[in-house]
Amino acid sequence: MRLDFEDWESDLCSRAERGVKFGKSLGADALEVYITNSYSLNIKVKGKIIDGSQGGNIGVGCRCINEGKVGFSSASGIDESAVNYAIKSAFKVSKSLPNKDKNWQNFVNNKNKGKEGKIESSVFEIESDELLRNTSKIFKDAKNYDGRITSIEGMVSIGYGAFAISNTEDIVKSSKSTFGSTEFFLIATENNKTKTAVSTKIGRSVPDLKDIGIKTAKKSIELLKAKHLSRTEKLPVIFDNKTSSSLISTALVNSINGQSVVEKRTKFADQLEAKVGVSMLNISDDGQLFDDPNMVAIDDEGFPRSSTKIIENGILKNFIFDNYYSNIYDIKNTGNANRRGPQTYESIPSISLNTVSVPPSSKDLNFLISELNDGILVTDMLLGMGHSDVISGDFSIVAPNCYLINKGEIQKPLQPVSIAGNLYEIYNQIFSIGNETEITPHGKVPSIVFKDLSVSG
Amino acid sequence: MLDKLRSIIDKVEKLGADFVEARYDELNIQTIIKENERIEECKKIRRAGAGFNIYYKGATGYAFSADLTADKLLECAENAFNIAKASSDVTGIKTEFPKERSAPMVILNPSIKEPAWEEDLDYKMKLVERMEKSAKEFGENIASLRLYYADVSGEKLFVNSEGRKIHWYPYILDLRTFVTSKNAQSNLLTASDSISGSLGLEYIKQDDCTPENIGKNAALWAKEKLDAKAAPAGKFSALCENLLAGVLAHESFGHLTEGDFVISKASPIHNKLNERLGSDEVTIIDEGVIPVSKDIRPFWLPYDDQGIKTKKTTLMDMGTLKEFLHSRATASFFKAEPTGNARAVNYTFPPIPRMKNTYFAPGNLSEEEALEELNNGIYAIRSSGGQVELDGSFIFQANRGYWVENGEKKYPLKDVTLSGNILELLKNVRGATKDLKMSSGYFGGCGKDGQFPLPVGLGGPKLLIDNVRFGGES
Repeated sequence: MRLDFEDWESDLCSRAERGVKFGKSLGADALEVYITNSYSLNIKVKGKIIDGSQGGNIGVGCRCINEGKVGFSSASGIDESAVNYAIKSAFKVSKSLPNKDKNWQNFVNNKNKGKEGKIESSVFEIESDELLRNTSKIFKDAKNYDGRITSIEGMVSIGYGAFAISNTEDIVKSSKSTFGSTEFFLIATENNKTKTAVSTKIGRSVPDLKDIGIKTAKKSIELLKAKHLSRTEKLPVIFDNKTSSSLISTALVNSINGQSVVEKRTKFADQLEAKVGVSMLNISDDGQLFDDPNMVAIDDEGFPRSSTKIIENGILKNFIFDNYYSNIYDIKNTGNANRRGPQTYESIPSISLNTVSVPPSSKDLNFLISELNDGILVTDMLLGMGHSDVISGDFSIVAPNCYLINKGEIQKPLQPVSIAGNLYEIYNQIFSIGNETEITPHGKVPSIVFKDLSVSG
Repeated sequence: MLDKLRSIIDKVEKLGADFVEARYDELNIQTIIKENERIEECKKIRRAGAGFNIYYKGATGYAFSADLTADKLLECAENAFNIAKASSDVTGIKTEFPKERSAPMVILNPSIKEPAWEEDLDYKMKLVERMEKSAKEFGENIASLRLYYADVSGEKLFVNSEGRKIHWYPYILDLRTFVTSKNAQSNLLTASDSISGSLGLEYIKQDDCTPENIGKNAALWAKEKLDAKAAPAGKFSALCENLLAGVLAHESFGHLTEGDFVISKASPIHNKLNERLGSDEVTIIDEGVIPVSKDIRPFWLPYDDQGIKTKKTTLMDMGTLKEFLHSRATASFFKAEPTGNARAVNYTFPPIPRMKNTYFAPGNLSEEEALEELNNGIYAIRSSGGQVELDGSFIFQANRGYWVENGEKKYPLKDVTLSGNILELLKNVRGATKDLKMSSGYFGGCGKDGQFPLPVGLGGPKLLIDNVRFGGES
């Protein structure tokens, strides 16, 4: 592992700043240079095969403005030739475009930064052989717990990274983070029937792998007893914190996105200050959760990260914005410009959620279950959520890990059920909220009970 | 670069590596995204780097670098070697394979007439404008109009311990239109069309394949959805259109045949070779090089990322499971021939078993005969993809559909969700049409183990399937 991480930010800042000077010398009207350096170590498990990979994603992305025309180019590598290539190419693209962008105003000129997240030294200290050994125990633990566990698929990833942004508004900023994550699928088999249970964890340090094997094995063995629901009707459904965060973040991904608001691709476009959900509902988009691996001090175009109230007591309060669309909508930027993908430098910043957060209540999951006479509990994962029609809001998903609730108790595991509804309407279907505070891959959302969802199985 | 990689292979072999594979990938990508008359994105990407896949006592390690100086590449190869050594202590399955004595040295160039990447930006912008103009002409109540263009070109260089040297040039052209129309109830309804694959610009000069045609189709299909009804929930017979059949072939079945899932026993068909899993109507093929025609737009993949020439692999032959998809390592484990399916999305990832162009083989029905055979049910068309689990369960979203009664399309449906288990579904395939269609592209693509988007092709005929579970409103 690299020991010079402390120096990365200043190194990237100087490369970005030099790039901006180079772009100005070409004659660019305005310019933004984004440079990133990140390292990751991944240990992959496929049954008994365990192997690893490591390396650094390094690259530069440049937005260049000429006469109101916006060009972008990127290159892998961060040496002078890569930076100059990206700048010259972005300059050429902007010169070649036919029309100016009449809404273009400026790059980020805010001089502030948000808070930095926690830097966890464990990710620098662990070596690949130790992580390989710890990972190899997961399948052994699961197999020893029950012989019906037949396979495991998954990955442990750890790493760290930094990025810097400089632009012609005299901005030079940087931020850094560390991360650790796991995702494991354990498969149980009995009488030709197979069931899969999943375990996911995210954080900023090397994840604790100790209990994953046994806990996940227990779930998949339990699911072998699953029976068919054998009915199609509207029922209350409890989404546990992993599935509720997936549902809520999908519901918000388009509906409160400032670009969709401006382009009128969301029904919420004219609903600010309107009641869109039940009174108990509060939702924020939080870019400043200290333990969140997604937390950095600035967004991907240099604006300070912050926390934005989206829904307060059921009232729609804010949309999320980047610099470009906040200028068009004439509203405060919320620091939601993000660059997607493992090669972030190849992506033009666009508006997306940072981390969805719903405050917990005092009710635990068992209490939520006890409130239902007849309903379904959905846990761990949803199939098809990512393919919902986020514009119309219609969704139809399959819950592979679910349970029938009868008279306030879990009665039996169920074969996969389909659940359908509309992403704009679910805020009004909330009946009860749980008390979990864990950060999951989709956000920090407790378990939620929704009434009257169409269920078929 | 070849000499640099060759010299590093020698050095790591001296450290004790049993076998070394070195790759250099360079891709140049031009994309344009235009929404509602604004160029939202016009970008040019250059991505280049090298990766080393190193074998030691049957275990592997991989490391990559975008820094292509000799010192950094050697450091990278040593890192891969160290991971392989550490892995050899814990991995439960070890794979070894013999070295080939007369390994090939191959250079392959694209066989198209008019490469898109040689045109200037102005030309590409005009293609986008042609889709835009046509969509506006044929659309109704358009709330949003999104247009996509991409061309991909580059080179892939592979060398290994055998002296094998493969040098080839991947390429893609991709044009797409998404139209969102608003109906009287303020519901937003989206439809799309595309032409994409390893194609030259000459392809989009043919009738029915022009940018105008893409814009027109997307607009008319969105317009048709303005009065569409919600699909009913429950089990129905279905006619799955060609590209939706392709999604079923790829997503729900193809992944189960990938050698790594078979070795790990995660695939429910890991022990079912030569068993009958589908009806007589089901033949599924995975192939790397397929001639382009008006309805067939594959991704050109002559060699995989382990330097293996891609094979035509019959996964299922008239309902019987015949072959799996292999990398060198998984093939050696099963004592089978590598099928040329070891692929990496770019140099930052190791090659793993992935699909090439996967499709259902055509049958003998016409579309009219298939609808007649369907009698009552759902005609489900195209898909934006879906999700599958390793037990074979799947969920897919068809973009369009029709409710069919007495063999006639009665009314259009809004987005249609299909779910179930592929192993059940394959038994219920009752027929297939004569027409084979296939598509691949840059936008979208396949995801596995964090490697996304990998260009793959998928397709098939129209499939007549009984007992398909549809989601939707109760």
